[in-house]
Amino acid sequence: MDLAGHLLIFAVAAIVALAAPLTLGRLIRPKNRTPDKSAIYDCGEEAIGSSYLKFDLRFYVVALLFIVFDVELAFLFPWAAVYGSAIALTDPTLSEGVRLGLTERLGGHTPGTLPIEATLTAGDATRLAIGGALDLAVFFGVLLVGFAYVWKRGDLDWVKTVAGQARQDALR
Amino acid sequence: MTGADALFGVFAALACGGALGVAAFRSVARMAFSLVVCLSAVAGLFFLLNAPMVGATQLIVYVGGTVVLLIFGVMLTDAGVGRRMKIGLLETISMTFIAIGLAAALGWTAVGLGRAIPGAPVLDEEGVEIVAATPDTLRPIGLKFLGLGGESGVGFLLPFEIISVHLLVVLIGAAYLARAKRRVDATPETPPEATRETASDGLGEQA
Repeated sequence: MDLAGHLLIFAVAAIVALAAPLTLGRLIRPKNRTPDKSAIYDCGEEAIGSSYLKFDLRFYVVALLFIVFDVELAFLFPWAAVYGSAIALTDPTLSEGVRLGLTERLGGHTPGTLPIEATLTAGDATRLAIGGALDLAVFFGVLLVGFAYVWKRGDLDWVKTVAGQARQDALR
Repeated sequence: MTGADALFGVFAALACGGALGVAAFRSVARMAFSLVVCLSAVAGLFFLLNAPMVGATQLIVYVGGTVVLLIFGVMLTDAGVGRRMKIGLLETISMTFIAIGLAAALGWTAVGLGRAIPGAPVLDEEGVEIVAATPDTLRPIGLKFLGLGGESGVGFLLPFEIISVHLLVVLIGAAYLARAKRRVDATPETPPEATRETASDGLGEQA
C-alpha cells in the first residue's frame, strides 16, 4: 500500500469517526425543540442583533500586510527545503552512502543515478548553507524596509489618530 | 488502481463540488467556504501530481490569503456577510455557456494528456527501486532560487531578489491606498467615530 492509500484510509477513518456518533445521536435523541434550545448561545446572555456585523475598516490594512508576507512565505518554502538538506550535509561524520543519498535528494536526482564523485562535501554544504542564508537575508531585508515604512507611518497603530493627535498637540 | 488514483478521484470530486457550491450558493459566506474547499482540493491535486511548490503556494496564497481577503472585503463592506446574491436570467444563461465551453476545453485537454499522476516506482527483480515514483521537484526549485542547479548551472537568483523588491512595492502601495484620506477640516469638535478613520500622515503633523 502506498502513501496515498494510507492517507485515504486515514481520511475515511476520520470521517467515519466523526459521522458515526452524529448519526447515532440524530437517530436516538428525543426530539422536543424549544425556543430556548434553538437560541444562539452567547455566554448565557440574550443575543442582540445579527452576528453578521460590519467589521472595522482598520482590519483591512492588517489583512493587506498579511497577504504580502504570506506571498513571501510561499517563496521561502523551497528555500527552506534546500537549506535543511544543506545543513544536514554539513555534518562531517556522515557515511559516504548517506552523503550521496542526501546529495541526490538535494539536487532532485533519481536515487542511484548520481556518480560518487558528485557527492557534496561538508565544506561545500557549509558554503551552500551560508550562501543561502545570506540570500534570504537580502530577500527578507528588502521586505523589512517596507515593514519599517508601514510601522513608521503608523499604519499598524490601532488607535492611530489618538496617538497622532497627541504628537500634534505636543508640537503646538 | 493505486491509492494515488483513488485519492486523485476524491480531490477531483471535492474540487468540482466546491466549484459547483461557489456557483450554486446565494449566501456570500457559503460561497467563500465553497471556494476554500475547491482551492484546497486543487492544492491536493498539485501535491499528487508531484508539484509541492505549486501545491504549497496554492494553500498559502490562495486558501490562506486570497480567501481571507475576500471574506474581509465582504465583511468590511456595507452589504455584509449575510447578503444574498441576486443573479439575473441573462447572466445565468451566458455564464452557463461559458462554463460549458471551459469544461469542454479542459476535458479535451485532460483526455489528450492521458494519465497524469506519476506512476508507481519501477522495481527490478529483487524488488529494489530503480526509478523513484516521485523525484523531488521542490529542492531543485530552491537551488535555482539560490542561483545554482539546472543544466546550465544558472538559476533565478536575480529574479528571486527582484520578487522581494516587487513585494516591497506592493506593500507600500497597499498601505498607501488603504490609508484613509485625511480630513482637511478636522477639528477637535469632530466626533471620535469620524476622526478614528482619518490618517495621521506627515502632512497632518506639519499642519
